[in-house]
Amino acid sequence: MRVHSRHVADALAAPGSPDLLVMTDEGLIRLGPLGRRIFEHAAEPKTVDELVDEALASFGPIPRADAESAVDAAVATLVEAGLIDLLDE
Amino acid sequence: MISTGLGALTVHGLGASAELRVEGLHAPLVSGALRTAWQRCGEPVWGGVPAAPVTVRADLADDSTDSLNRLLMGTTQNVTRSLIAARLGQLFLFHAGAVCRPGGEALAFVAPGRTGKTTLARTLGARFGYLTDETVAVEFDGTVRPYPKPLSLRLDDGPKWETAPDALGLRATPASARLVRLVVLRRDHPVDAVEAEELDLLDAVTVLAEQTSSLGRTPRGLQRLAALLDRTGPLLVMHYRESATLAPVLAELLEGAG
Repeated sequence: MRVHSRHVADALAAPGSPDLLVMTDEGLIRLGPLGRRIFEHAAEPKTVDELVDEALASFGPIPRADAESAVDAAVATLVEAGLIDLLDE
Repeated sequence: MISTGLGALTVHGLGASAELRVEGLHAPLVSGALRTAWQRCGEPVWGGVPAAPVTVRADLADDSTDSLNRLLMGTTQNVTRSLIAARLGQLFLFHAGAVCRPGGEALAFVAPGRTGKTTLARTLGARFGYLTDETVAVEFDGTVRPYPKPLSLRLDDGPKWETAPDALGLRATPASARLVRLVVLRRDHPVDAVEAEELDLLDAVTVLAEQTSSLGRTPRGLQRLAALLDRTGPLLVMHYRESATLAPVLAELLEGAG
């Protein structure tokens, strides 16, 4: 499955915070560290496996199954929020 | 229908201007009341961008004060909506009251409705310049566009009344002001005390976004809001219970700001 972040006109990061504020047509969304990494990393189309690899590289040694589970949940949240699109299954 | 000689009355505020058109059986009575209540918003310097005219249907159910006052309060809401609509996306529109020092240095207190903004504006406006009690318009460079509207106040245990700021002795409104401090009010303190909580940037922007009209329509609104906070200092959340206790704290904050 590949995903791709949608373009957003306005986003705000702050020094010292791993979070990201994103303004969408529906309102303001705050992304936590994992959501932010996925959103930013998927600026170019990525597979979920690539996102898991990126999460493992960013957040340290955790079991891959845990990373896959966390990325799957975060992707579902981002899709529901309209911040990323599923390109294919 | 009677259309009155109120056609000359234009309300200026938030950097916009809206004409009031009064029609109906009680037009002369309503026109006079509107002129009195909105006297301070008659200065074109506070207007500019044309807003949609506001039509006031002056057909009162009876001659009672309550009937007139309901109409006046409804008119205030319609005027505010019209002025806001004319300025959406052009500047920040905070749900807030504001006052300023003689040099124009302004404090805005952001809060949802019915949380004490009007009471605070009245109290602080007796000492500082009255800018507004409901909606604060702030240009991206921090310039405040005053909206010195009437205050909806309960006087002498009677019903609420749209009261002109001059009738309350509120200090003069400057042509413009500059925002030097921004606070958010939370009427949630368990006892009669005031506690200030400083928010980090992302929390501050999140809180302010909830109390800002259509931030999403403002180009680069998040970045500009962050820049505004960079100029005014960190956003403070003031937890309080009684306006009388909070007012001197805000006064001290304004005296020491900017």
